[in-house]
Amino acid sequence: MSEPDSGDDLEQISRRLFEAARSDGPDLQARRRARQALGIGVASTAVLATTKAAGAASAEIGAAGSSAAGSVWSGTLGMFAKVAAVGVTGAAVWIAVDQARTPDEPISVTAEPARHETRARPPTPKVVTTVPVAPPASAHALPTASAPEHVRAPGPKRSEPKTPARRAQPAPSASEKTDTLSPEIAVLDEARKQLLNGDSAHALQQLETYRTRFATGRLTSEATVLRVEALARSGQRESAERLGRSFIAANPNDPLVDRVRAILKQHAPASESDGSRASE
Amino acid sequence: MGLPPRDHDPGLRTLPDVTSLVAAAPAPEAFVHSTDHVTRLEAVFSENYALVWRLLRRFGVPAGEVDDAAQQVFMIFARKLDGVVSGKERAFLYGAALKTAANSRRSAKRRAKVLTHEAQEPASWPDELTEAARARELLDQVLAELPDPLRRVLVLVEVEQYRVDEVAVLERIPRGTAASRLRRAREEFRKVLATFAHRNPFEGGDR
Repeated sequence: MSEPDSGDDLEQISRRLFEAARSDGPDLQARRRARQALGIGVASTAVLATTKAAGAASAEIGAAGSSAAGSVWSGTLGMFAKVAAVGVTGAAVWIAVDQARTPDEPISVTAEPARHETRARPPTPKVVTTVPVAPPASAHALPTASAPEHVRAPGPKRSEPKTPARRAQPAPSASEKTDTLSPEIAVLDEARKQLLNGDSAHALQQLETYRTRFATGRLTSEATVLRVEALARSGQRESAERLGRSFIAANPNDPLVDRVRAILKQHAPASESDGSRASE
Repeated sequence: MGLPPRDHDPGLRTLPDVTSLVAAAPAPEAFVHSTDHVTRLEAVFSENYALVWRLLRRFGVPAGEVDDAAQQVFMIFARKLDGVVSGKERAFLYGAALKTAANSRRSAKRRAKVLTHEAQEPASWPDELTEAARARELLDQVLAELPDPLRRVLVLVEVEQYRVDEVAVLERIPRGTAASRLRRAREEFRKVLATFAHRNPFEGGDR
């Protein structure tokens, strides 16, 4: 392969490098984990952005081939369109896997479409695409003030990101994943609702159910943090403190540590609040 | 203080300050938030997560850490959400992303890792994806050679397709300065790219 030796060649390469960057983005697992850590992941909906992505993606992917016409590396002109096609396949797998749990996200492979829609410059190829799969009707309602609260953090630890069970796999392992995770989420979701309703006692019961049913579950960290919250809210401050401290000690890098600290701080007696955190 | 002086990292000197985007000191984060809080967080996350992720990546966060870094940015936002002025969410996220990326780069340097090395590239990826990954790797290596202010402007314009006036708002600099930085950034980018051109990721087309 000859090295680019002109300004035009460099311009071509530059353009394609930026195009490649525009096609970059988080995978669905990362997005889901972030949602879970933020407590917005389980049943909420946010299809607006991904819906916008649909129109832009189809047009822009189609433009991918022509945008690079004349390139000295014309052998790869269709690259981005092909990438998009691969993305569709991957997304389809994920929809099959997780549609029941997170109907809000399976569509967008690489999002941020609203930004690009308003651009005055010509569209550029992006791996943003949609898959024509209809999730349950309830999944497509936009979030409203009356929407139920969700489990704050019913997700796996961030530090366990790419276990085989969580990777986009062929159908058999995908169905296994759904089967094992959905019940965990349901239990934590219920606990979360009860906590939001001020019913800490029942929330604790629900969390006890979680502990007995899913002793080695994938959402144990989230369950523990919910338990800390429930204990604190039920007046069992010392128990909450112990559990919270042990969680922090065992998972110092867990993103939920901040939440635990916030809970303990919120429920700490005024006389202890400063000194207790000084040791962390 | 154990940290190196800020002047050692030219990028840090020009990080947009996001403190003015927070209206008031927010209350300590509670695990249970109001519906409005969750709804707002949900909306901001949905609209900006991919953007934040890409910015972090292009601003030098190693591939293996970018998921966590993006999550961290939104955790910061969630904590400050009640104090973030409505309409300034993206600017806040941008500032938080810059600081998170700067921290990540410093950590990576301390670990003596090559920041842009893609170590987890699946061997089974199709050629097209491998090519795209190679392209991004090269891009990141070239970007890493640019001064941070130029790098940021270039990424915002060329990758995220912001207009110059929008970049000026995000960077909190005059529009003329943004335009000037963009011009210089493009020039610098080409110069650096020329030195990397022997690694043209699109050479597969000639195979």
